[in-house]
Amino acid sequence: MAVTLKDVAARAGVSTATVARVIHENGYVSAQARDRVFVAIRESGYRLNVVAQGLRRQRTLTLGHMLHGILPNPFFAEVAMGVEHAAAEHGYNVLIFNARDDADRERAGVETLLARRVDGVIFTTALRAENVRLVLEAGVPAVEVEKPLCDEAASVVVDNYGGVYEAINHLLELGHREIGYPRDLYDAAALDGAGGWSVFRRITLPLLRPALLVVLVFRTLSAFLIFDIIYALTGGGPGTSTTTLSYVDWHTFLVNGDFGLGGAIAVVMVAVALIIAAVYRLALRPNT
Amino acid sequence: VIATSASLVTRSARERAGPLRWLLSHGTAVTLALVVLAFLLPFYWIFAHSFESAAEYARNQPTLWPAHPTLSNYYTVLVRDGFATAILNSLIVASITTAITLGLGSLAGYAISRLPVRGRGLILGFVILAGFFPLTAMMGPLFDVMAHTGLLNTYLGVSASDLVYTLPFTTWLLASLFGQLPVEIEEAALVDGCGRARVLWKVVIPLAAPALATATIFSFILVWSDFAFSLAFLQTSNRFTAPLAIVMLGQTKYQTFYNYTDAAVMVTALPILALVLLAQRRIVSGLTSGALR
Repeated sequence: MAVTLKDVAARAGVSTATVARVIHENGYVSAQARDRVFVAIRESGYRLNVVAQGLRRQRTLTLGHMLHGILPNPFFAEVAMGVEHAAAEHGYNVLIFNARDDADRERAGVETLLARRVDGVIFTTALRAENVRLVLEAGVPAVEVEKPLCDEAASVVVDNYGGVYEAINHLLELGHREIGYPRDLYDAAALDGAGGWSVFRRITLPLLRPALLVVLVFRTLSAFLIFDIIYALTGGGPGTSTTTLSYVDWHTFLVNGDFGLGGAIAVVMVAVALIIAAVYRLALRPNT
Repeated sequence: VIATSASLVTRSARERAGPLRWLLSHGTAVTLALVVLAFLLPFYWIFAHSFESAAEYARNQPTLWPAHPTLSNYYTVLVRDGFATAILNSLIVASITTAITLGLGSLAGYAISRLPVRGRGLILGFVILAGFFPLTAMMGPLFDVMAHTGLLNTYLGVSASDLVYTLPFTTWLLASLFGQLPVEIEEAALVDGCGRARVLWKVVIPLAAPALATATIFSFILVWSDFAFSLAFLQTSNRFTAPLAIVMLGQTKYQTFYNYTDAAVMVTALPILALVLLAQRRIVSGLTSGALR
């Protein structure tokens, strides 16, 4: 026969209420009485009967935690650790159930947890909204982590979009200009409901800035310095209406043979090309 | 988070698939189709009219497809007008330039990306700047040099001057691509007593084969379509490269017969088109791998 609270009270010579106050650390108990109770508990080997306590209070101080599976994705292991840690701080224990990506197994797990009268169920992440609803209909609170499937349940979701946005801004502030963008970044934005346009404007475009600069400089310069099309199609005419700087320079160099003037035009051409490149560089500087 | 978010996105995208989203995705397809059409239409025009007979061309009533398609333009251009020689000239010039470009470019690219070079960024910046240098600005000085070295009207002269724009591009491309190769393999070879030159030849070059293929194709295409330097340094029609020959072909006639020009353009464009289509994936991956990793 297991040792009960009454045995401890008798051994310590106090009432059962005093023993309960000592165990739960609430209410006043004199120092001598507390010492006597501790000695009595140690000598008798008394242990709190949580099952009986639960029956009496209609609370089990136990949470159910539905997971896809602790392994192989370490994400779930970390969430499980966090849940247990937080629960322990509030005097709760956690029952873990691995659904292993099977909605039917999740359903069975929910039934098991409800049968064990858990005080709440955490889904990381739920596989079927109906299973979450089942918990709520049993009058037990449910919380969904990361993936809100069921509208009625509370949920804890990471702000992926905001996080990514801040991460990129942080990298830009540190002076990084070449930032890789794995698909996950877009997944995160889509997850948080960012539309196509805002994803393009706030993620794609800023990341493409260096590439845009290169393309712009390249195309503007090659258009500015255009020669072969002018030569083949118009020969600079009619009159001088399509005469470009490049065409003039070629004509001065190789038709007129004026190397001095041609060299001067070449210097002007290079200067303008450099100015164009500099203007673009300035215009496309990231606004930090 | 990563594992779950993948399945999440597909779901949330499906849930939000409204009429607006449908229109948006199909709008993209329509826009893309229009852009592709705009690019392909001129090429189709050249293709179609390269089969047009001189008589039909002279009637000056262009049709979408010639009424009596003929290969006579190709025969006339290649045999009578000596365009086959121009293609051969282009091949020689492009091959010489590409070979020199690859040799020097890979050495320079390797040095910039791996050796402890002072002012590496400055050197790379200067290389890119050199690539932007206006070609016509260099014509005069180069002409002067060639006139004094007897390189005028030679393959080598044009090839050497074409290096001016192939080499900066190739050096820059190979420097960034070499920089992405795992340095550990080279270090292992160096530790085992392999010299720098042998590391480059036995380790880096085989590893960088895709990058070198990209550089080869790009350099070849750049030289193949060069017009300015060919015009400046080639003086007799038996040395003309294909782009130069195309323009001269049109200009020597009293009336420009564009059906001949079209055939010449087709002959010039086809090898490049085939090369690009065959190596498209390689070119794109070679160019973008720098940005993505």
